[in-house]
Amino acid sequence: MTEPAVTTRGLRKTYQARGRRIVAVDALDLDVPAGGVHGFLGPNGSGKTTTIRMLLGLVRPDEGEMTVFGTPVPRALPDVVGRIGAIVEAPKFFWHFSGRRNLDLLARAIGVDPAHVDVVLHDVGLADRAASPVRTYSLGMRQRLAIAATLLKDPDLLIFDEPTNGLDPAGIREVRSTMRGLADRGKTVLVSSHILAEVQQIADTVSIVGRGRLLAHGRVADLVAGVGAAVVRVGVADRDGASRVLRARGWTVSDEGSGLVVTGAPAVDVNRALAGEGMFAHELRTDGASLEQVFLELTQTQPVAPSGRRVR
Amino acid sequence: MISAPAAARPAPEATRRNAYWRLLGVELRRFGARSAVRWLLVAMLAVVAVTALAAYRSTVPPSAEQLRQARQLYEEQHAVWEDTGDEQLRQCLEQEAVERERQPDQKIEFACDQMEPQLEWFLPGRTTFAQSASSWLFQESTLLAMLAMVVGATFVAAEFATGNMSTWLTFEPRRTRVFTSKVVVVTLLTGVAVTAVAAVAVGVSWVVSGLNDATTDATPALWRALGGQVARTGAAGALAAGAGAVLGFLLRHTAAAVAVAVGWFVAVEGILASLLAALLPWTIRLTLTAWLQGGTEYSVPGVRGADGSYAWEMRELATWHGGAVLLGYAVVLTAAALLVFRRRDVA
Repeated sequence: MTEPAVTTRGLRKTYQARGRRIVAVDALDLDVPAGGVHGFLGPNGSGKTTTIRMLLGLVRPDEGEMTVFGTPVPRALPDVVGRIGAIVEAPKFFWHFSGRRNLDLLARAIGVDPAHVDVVLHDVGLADRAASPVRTYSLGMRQRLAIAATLLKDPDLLIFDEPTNGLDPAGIREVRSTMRGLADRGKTVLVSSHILAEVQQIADTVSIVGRGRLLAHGRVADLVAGVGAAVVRVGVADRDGASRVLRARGWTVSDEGSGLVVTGAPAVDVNRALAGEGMFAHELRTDGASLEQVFLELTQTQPVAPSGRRVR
Repeated sequence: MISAPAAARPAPEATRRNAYWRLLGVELRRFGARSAVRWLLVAMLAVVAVTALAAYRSTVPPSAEQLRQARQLYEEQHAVWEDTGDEQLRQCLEQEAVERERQPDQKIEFACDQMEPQLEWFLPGRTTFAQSASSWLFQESTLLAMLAMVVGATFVAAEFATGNMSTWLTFEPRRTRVFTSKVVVVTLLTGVAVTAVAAVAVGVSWVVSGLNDATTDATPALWRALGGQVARTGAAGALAAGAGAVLGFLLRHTAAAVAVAVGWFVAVEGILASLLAALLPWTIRLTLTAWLQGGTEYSVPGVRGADGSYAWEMRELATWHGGAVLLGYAVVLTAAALLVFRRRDVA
């Protein structure tokens, strides 16, 4: 069995704020499989960034164990940090230094040939602005510079924390493509986001957290199917015949006049069932089911700590 | 789509072996590239320029008009002395005798034999390089140490202010290495810079004094003493920069580091030390003075006299005492900051 890229067990972090202790992460058990895109999902304030900071050694956990590629962190983080590239929240650089100088310093710090800086700058499309101070960069450019910084190490695990915040649609699409492309090359991409629909488009697996706790995890398709909220709209000439075929599979079917509405099955299975009986749909559309629905359902049904998560 | 480039990962063994030297190299590059550091070095040179101007003004010989006026005043006063000098001398000796009788345990000296007017009394004050070079350098040193502290503070605090520290730690998570690399580089480089600026200051003062023919009394012993003072100034600058960097780690804002330093001098060195004289030999102000000047003196209240007044007692503070106390403070502050940085969450 392949070693997971990231595991956490019983992870807990509390902060002192205004005389009260606030729980940011609570007994979090996380498993990020190696390879593919893993979405780390949850609303703002659910503990995603704190968890990532703990993995990177920026924040000390109160309790719990963490590993990255089987190496316990933060204790042995130096042994594995060369395999991790991370962007935590907004990209952070020296604003008065150029993009090239920022990356040059980072490259020299980890023993990468400084000539490699221009390669990664070219790859993220910043070669023309490499000599400009970072303060003149747009947010999208800074985000690309941060991605270039992570690529300096040629990491096996890339951690992107809310990578599309503040980006325009083209930038969002570019970052999504980048993450998917890295995963397709065998890298593990851990991406945190509160925009569930966005991650659904690229994630293979997800972990959903709410108020610091893990609510669900698994393959996206399984989670979406699991909530039973997906409906498939089927346009077919023989609605009665198709209805019988689909009901025979145990699915719920209703005839809405313009077509059938099938609940509890993915579109591909509906199509296969009809085709098996010589019936061919002229319309097949999945409506409704999404990670967002999954998340809403989970947060409404899963117990969470009382009193706004404040403990003594 | 952004493509991931080919592998550039260094060999792990090579990474471990050379990591610290690489960090030092990177910090050295960053030190040289920071515009704030450059501006502060320019400010140090401005201090030199101001001192050079003051040196020129204080060594400039009197003009012919000043000489004429001085001679005129001297002749007027000397004429008065010739008429009344004997009486003035008699009164002076009488008063001196009375005072010696009143305070038999004190050494009373009225210098009555020096009352006759001299021409130089009426000339504008003029000094020479040998007489004043040490005090010029001392005055500069204090300002240089303050600027060095700001250099150190801004060098580290800027990393926290920009959030770059968290980016840095995702590349090098060993915090002790990160801490020491920054403190070592800013301490050494600022120390070298302050030493160079102090040496330049002495050189410029010598040149400027030479323009006024005020360097003829410079001896090899003077140069040796000034060399030692320049070296001690450099060391003080290095310590100040290191202390600034350490405060930057503790407080994470340059302004906060400067405010704490100012607050310390006002509250502890100013108010508290004036109330508790025992603190004086441990204050940064006096220990720094002792270190820079090659020893100093300070006064504390002695025994109360019969009339209720205190007789002030002079005490000496050795150079080594000043250096040792300053080094002790630096070590304690550095250890505290390292402990905090190793444990504190970084945003």
